[in-house]
Amino acid sequence: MFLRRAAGRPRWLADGCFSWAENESFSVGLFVFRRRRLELRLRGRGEPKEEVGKILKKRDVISAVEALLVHGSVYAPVEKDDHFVFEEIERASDLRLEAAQTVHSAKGAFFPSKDPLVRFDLSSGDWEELPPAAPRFLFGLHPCDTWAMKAFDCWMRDGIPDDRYLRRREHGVIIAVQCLKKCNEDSFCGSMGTYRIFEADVRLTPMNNGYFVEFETEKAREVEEAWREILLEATVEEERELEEMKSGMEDAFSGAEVDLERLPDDMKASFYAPWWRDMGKRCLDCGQCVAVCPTCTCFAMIDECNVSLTECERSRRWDGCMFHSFAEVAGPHNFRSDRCARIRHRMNRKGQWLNRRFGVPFCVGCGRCVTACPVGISPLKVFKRAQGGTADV
Amino acid sequence: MNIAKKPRVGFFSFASCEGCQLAFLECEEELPVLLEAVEIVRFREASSYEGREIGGEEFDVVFLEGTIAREKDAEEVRLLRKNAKIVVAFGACATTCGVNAIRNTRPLEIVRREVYGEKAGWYDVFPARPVSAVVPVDYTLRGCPVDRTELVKFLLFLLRDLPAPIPKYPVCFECKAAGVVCNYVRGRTCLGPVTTCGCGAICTRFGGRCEGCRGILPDANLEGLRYAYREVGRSEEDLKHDLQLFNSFLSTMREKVL
Ligand code: SF4
Ligand code: SF4
Ligand code: SF4
Ligand code: SF4
Ligand code: SF4
Repeated sequence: MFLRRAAGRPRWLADGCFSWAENESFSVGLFVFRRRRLELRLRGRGEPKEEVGKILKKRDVISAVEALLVHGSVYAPVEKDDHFVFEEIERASDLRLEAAQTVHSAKGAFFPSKDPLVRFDLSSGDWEELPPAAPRFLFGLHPCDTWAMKAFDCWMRDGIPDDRYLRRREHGVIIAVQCLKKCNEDSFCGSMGTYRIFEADVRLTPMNNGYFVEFETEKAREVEEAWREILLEATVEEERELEEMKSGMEDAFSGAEVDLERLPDDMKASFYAPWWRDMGKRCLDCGQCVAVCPTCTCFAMIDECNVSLTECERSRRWDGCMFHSFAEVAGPHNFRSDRCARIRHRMNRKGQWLNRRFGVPFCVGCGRCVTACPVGISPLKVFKRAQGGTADV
Repeated sequence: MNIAKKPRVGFFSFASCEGCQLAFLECEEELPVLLEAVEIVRFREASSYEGREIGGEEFDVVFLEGTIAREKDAEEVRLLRKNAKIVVAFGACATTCGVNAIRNTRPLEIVRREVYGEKAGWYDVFPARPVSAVVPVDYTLRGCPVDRTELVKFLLFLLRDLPAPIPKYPVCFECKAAGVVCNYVRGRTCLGPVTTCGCGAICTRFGGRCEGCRGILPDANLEGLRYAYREVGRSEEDLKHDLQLFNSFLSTMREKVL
């Protein structure tokens, strides 16, 4: 069935379909304060809760996932080639909640690597939208991922809101797990101030024998309902254990190496620094950093016809500023044909421009790009160098 | 479709395993439609006709598979270029010179004797070269063998009289989109970062390493790749060795042949 639309820019969605995007404005450079405020707000959010804390025992995790699978698909860390990746899981037992860090981020849930948008008839021009399938539950996001999602939202809501992304986002229920220590050697969330969960529908805090569960939002009700029979009430000792865990966590993430308030200015000041060349010489333009990064949002559009040339499908797929062809325009002219300019561009998106504009970090310190980069390029090294460090980048 | 007369298409094969022609024949689902849209004039691999003479026939498109390995081939290619509107270099042998270029790394005399023994003198071969080293090529379809999906897509562009898109990304791009855990992360090397994409990262998706069959990207950073090899404990020799399989022509022979 094709829908015929009047000429003009197609809107994938009628306006106002998602209520979640309340209009928030961020003050420049003040996200640290804002985060504190938000945390206070989150703590006291919703109807006053009288409840006792809930505990998900380790042995019940699989049943908890099974209970979710009854309500919808679950996107979670699974094991792949001795590493972890986010994928839609088939069996509850595939879940690896203990995964330290996934090599790929969870952005694919709401921003698939290839997303067929519309199909159109080549002779009549009629077209229909292809429904944006998306996982229902995102289980096992880490604090950095929740911050990344915030950054992603800011970008996708800016200007003309990206309805497709936002509809998926609205549909998804985020179940995040607090990290109690740095997940691997490449991550630096402690430096980026992203080691506490920013926003989640359900938050789990690891305990010795399971997880302390907090339901935060309206959307969490469905999970609460599904887990009614599975969760246990926290004992007084467990409540105490939770407090201990939380305070131990602050110590584990102390010793930030980046001054976030000054970062945008420092990045700006180092724009013409000679050390960018060192990276430019090494970078392979492979774009792996972009693909694994939870805050990289770039995409390209492609049209693909069927073999009898009667129908065509328009998709968007990931793209990235690290590729030579990304900045190629008519001419042919390339406004970032230099490798060094490309890596500098990416780093400035993470450390200067977007964080300044939106007031949230656009590098959340997850370290995925560091793990992925075959030549050891790391935003942390860059930020430190921009702030007066002398170590090689 | 804006083509009044069916375009005349020919397939020709030079030094190769002819696997790329097979790849075309394997497009079983699309073939009936494609064959309605074009007239295949010459395609020895797909016919019972055994001759391979190349005459004055006119073509709209010719697909040239294989490496040019002797003067006689080069003459035929020149003739085909003259008689065809569009020349497509088809597969690794034709585009990067593929595995055939390995022979260029050793003295031709020795190679000839090794292969043909005492009859070495009967075969008049010269250093192997890709089609583009003999005549100008309009389009390049990469891979050993060519990728079927890419081939069909390419034909659809051609049939609509549109310039076919040229893949300009590294294999990593497709590999990452497919969610593969990178070889480098697993402590292995891979030529994906410098190799032209379009194969859908078929090798890495199935647990292998990219061997670079689609050719090194024009602006590839081989210096950086050396660094990446060192990072996982491999040497410059390892890199040379890996590049030799499909990219010998690029790395060692271009000057000698052109
Ligand atoms: S730039 Fe790297 S460390 Fe920062 S958020 Fe992206 S992948 Fe994570
Ligand atoms: S992963 Fe590393 S080498 Fe590849 S494009 Fe990114 S910075 Fe460059
Ligand atoms: S490119 Fe590979 S498959 Fe194609 S003809 Fe050459 S050797 Fe055979
Ligand atoms: S496995 Fe190879 S092709 Fe895939 S991302 Fe890693 S280097 Fe690139
Ligand atoms: S992954 Fe590499 S070796 Fe394999 S088909 Fe693609 S380009 Fe060729």
